Amino acid sequence: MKIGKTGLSKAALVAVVAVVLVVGAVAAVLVLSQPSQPTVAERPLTVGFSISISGDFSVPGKKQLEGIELWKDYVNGRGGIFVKDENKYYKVELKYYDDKSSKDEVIRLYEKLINEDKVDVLLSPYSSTLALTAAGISEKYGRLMIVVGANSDTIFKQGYRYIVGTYTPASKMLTQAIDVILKHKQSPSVAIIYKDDAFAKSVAEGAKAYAEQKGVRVLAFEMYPRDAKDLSPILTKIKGVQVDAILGGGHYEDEVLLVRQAKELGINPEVMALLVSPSLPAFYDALKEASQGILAPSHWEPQLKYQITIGPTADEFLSSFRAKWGSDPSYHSAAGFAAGLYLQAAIEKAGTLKNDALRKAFNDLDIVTFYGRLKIDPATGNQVGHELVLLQWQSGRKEVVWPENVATSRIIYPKPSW
Amino acid sequence: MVTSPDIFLQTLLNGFLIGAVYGVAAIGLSLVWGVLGLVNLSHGALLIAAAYITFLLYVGLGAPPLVSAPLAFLIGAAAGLLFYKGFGKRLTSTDPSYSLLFFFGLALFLTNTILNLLGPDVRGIPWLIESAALGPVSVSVARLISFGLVGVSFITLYLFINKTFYGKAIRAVVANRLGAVTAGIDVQWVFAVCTSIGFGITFFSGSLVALVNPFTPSSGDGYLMYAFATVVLGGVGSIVGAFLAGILLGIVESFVGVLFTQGVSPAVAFITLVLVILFRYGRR
Amino acid sequence: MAVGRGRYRLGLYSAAAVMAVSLLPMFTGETASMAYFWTLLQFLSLVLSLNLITGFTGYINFGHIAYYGYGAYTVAYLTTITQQNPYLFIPAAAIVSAIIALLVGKPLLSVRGPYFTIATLGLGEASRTIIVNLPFFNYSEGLPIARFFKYDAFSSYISMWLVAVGLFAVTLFIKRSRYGVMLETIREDEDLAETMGINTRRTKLAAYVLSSSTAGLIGGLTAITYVYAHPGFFSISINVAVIASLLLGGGGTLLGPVVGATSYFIIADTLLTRFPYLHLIIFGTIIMGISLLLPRGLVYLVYKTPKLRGLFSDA
Repeated sequence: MKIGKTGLSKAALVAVVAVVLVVGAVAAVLVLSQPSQPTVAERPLTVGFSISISGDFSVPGKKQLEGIELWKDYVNGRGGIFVKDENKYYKVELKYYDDKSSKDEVIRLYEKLINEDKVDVLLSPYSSTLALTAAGISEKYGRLMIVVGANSDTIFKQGYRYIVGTYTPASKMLTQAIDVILKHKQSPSVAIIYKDDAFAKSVAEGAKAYAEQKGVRVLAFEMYPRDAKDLSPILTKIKGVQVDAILGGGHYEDEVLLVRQAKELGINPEVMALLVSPSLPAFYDALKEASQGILAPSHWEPQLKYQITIGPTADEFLSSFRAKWGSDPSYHSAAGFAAGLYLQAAIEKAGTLKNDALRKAFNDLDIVTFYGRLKIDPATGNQVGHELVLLQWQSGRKEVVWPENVATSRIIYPKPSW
Repeated sequence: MVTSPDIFLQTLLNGFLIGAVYGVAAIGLSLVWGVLGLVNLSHGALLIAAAYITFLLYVGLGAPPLVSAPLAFLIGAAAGLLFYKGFGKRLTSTDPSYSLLFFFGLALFLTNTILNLLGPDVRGIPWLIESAALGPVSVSVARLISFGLVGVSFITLYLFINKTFYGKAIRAVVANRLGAVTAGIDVQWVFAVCTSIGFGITFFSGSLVALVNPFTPSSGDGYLMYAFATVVLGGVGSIVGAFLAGILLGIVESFVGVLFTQGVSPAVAFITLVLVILFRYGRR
Repeated sequence: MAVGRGRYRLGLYSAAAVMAVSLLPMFTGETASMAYFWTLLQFLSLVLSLNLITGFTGYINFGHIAYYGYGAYTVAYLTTITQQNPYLFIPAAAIVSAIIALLVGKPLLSVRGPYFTIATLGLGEASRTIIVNLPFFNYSEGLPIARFFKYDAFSSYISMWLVAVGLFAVTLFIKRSRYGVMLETIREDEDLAETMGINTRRTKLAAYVLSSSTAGLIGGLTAITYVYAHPGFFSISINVAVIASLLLGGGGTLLGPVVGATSYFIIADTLLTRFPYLHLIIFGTIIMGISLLLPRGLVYLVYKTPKLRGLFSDA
């Protein structure tokens, strides 16, 4: 049957209408499902933590805080973090309190951050003892916490499922020093000493295990008390034992005292490697020539150049840090910043702010920041991607001496006699 | 090894030197406690305040600790006098528990003021970090010098307390306050002088601490417990006692650390403290 | 013996009010206020337990916190080796603390005044140092117990609430009994008390043991709520905070700990949030002020003023 002048059959007309309808429907669906322009979220993304503004850990605590604050400026300057599920950019806001380097304060504050302030994500306090404490609380409520400024292996052996590490584990901190000794000496002997806290003990035990595995004789393995004002007893004991190297330490005041008293007691090992204090300029200021040749592991030094996949370069970080704070960053600051980048990467990968999904996102994440590579062991959350370097004080300058391919100066071995 | 004569001598010498510092650091505490009956919980904070003053003098003016130590004494003495004028009467007439609380508040105030003004970084005076060999034994030059200063100050103080008229007045008040008043001694004056000397010697010791050790604003607590142990061991109010007790404590700590492990040495100090108190001041 | 007959029992009513108000979070189930109130109840309980010795006898105990630590470690250690629910071991926490207090208390209480205070300080510090050297307590790391049980906010809250109520009841009982009068006589003039025929040694020791075992109880519950027992439990700063609160409020009363603990708690919290860098300086100044200006604690402003004394009593 023909319709009208064109002579289309009824069947043909039905076919044309059908095609038009289908095409129209498909087009409509396509148009409607097109994502609209992302908007900015009304509320900020809160990152909550406690940090040691006063107390034993105030020196590195302050440095770590400066790094985190700088990251906040960085990410907000780029419009914030994009959360795909909500199609929104979130500006970051930090919510932090002074934990006074005290475990009890940490507990109180993390309960507060989680329950009262209802922050979106948590960062840990500085130091292994405080981080372990905070992890208990965050785990209790099933909240994600990025552990920064803490690396005792104990934290990651508790079976906690919501933590992510950013530092190389403590047990690995003195392994490079041991490698250095082995390179220069046959069948060496070492003394391992440590302060009575979780972090130093972790490092010491890791060092002992590694040393014994490599055939290094551990002739002394001693602990010293926290507030010791005189370390001559433990040093005298070591003097009596005659070792090639003294490894270990604790934190700032005690490590400076160790170096000072070792010199005063006429102890001259070929290697003396501490844990944290040589990273800061205050170490040299307090010891001057006595600092010559002292080694220590570092989680980051400004001279290191990595193949970056996210975030600023080391130079950019340095200059913006100096511009904001008027001082140089330490590895604590770099790690604080990197923790922020790590979080950012996870949120962008997961597309949501939900804790469980975020934690899962970390499992497959493998990024390289100016601070180094970041990748975790999915089972425990411990950091396995990041590498340490060894630094040494040479004539009032901090040089990277190991691994040799990133070294800025040749190692001085043995440590010059005092 | 550990029991060789060289190590034995070294341990003894180490203990002696640190003990001298413990001793002189405790004298101020002992004096104020013995004469005024005030237990100064801010003692550690005062030591560290003086350490920082010494540090600033060194860094700012290049003043070696030898010069700063006597200066610190004078500053402390002036501070002590002012302190007594301001708070002394109130504190000595109130319940002892409240004076304890007051000094604790003072410690918090001092420590955190230093923290906010000068930062938390560890400080040290890199002056004379040298070792001198006395035969088989090594001695820290800085500690040797501080020992010399301790000796001088101790002798001066001893002569003052035991050979002068004023010293006699002080001893009388320590022995029997009521009796001293009856004898016509101006107790207020004695209190003021003792607070002044007490703070003065404490600041002097703080200066010595800066000479031999690194420190941070919160280092005071570490010295406080040892000061208490020393005071109690030596007898509250006794200068000679404090000095000798300090040396004894230093030597014991040194040997415990070398023979066993340094990890337990604070426990030794504290248990000594408790046992001495119970035996000496307990009533059957 | 009826105390305060015919007068408004300020202490009793305030205690009841506080306990009633702190029951509210249980009903709203809001975790934020539960956490906040739990900490307040815990601190209040500590002050109440210290009150039993320091408030009533006047012996300032700087080693109170050691028993808090013993309790925490007892619960955490037993949980770790038996892998059972930690609540089972709460009685053990109290018993262990009581035993230690019995052994140590007798010699300790033979000295008075600052000597007692310093000796207890030594005890507290010695405890910490020893614990840190013990392998089975995990040295300085302490004993995390999160993996041995399922933490439940409600049970932890109700148990602390019950402890606080219990301590109020004990304090009330002591305040109204002849035993309480004996203790307060010791505080006012111990030699006189002896002359009157009071067996001061036994009276003091009983108060010390009671005070210490309740501290152990609180420590055990805290270890459960914090899912962790560590050397930081032996902190002298907490002890001083508890003493300061007690002295601020007024010892030997029911109202004193309530007023002291809540004021201290609120002040400390406010300072921390508003002055992140200066809070300790301000705090130190406040403590100095309190110690100089308040002769015996805030509540005595009420209990000793002639006009008010006729109106209000404590229990």
